[in-house]
Amino acid sequence: MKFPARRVRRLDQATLRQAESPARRCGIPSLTGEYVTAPDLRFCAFTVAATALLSACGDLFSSTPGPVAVSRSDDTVIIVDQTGKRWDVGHGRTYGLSPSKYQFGLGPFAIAPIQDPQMLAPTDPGYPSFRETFRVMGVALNGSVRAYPLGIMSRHEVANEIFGEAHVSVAY
Amino acid sequence: MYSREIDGETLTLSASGWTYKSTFVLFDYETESLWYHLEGTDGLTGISGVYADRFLPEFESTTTRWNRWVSEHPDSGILKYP
Repeated sequence: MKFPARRVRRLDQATLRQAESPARRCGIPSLTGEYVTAPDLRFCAFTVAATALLSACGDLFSSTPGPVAVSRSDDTVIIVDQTGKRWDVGHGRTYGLSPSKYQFGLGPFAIAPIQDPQMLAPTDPGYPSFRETFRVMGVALNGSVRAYPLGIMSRHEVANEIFGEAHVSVAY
Repeated sequence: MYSREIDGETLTLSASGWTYKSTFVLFDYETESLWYHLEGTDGLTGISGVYADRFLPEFESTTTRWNRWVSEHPDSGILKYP
């Protein structure tokens, strides 16, 4: 019996370039929760589609929004975010922060912090291979050593942590 | 990474939904004071609210790749998907 000839796929320049893409360097996690280094194309496609949708809904979500309204009186400068919540940023001017330069105003619940961060230990199932190259923030404090993947931190921005006696916020 | 202890209290920090010069402006759940890492400083400065002009110092952290971090810290934990 004669077997059909196998087509061998060579690593071409396009594949090599994709391997070094920003998505891969950031280590966007896969939707199934594994720690992978290669970009998950479904996540990328979702992000692109979501951004396009938000840009299209110009009235509902400004794509480059500033404060929705500004009102002033003596030291108080109120800016209003997209949920209608009011923030007084008048005092920030003493640090050179201009009220008109605050952007997005997504509201205080849009990006929820990680409140009770759980860690995988080296012996736990799902602990990533030592060969993975996704980016992390690494911290060693009070005898605990922990790593926070940037792919997760970029979605939550803040993880409120306890290292022994110290209460800290890991912030990306 | 920042301390979130002040005056014997522990704060809960979060993104406020605002950015300033592409940096997230944080706030604490307890008082809704805004916190921001001003350029050239080593921590968060309160820019609004009860904790205006107060300071939360930062702790050392390293941004690197997993393979390099775990080779130097083989016992390191890693954040589980929340």
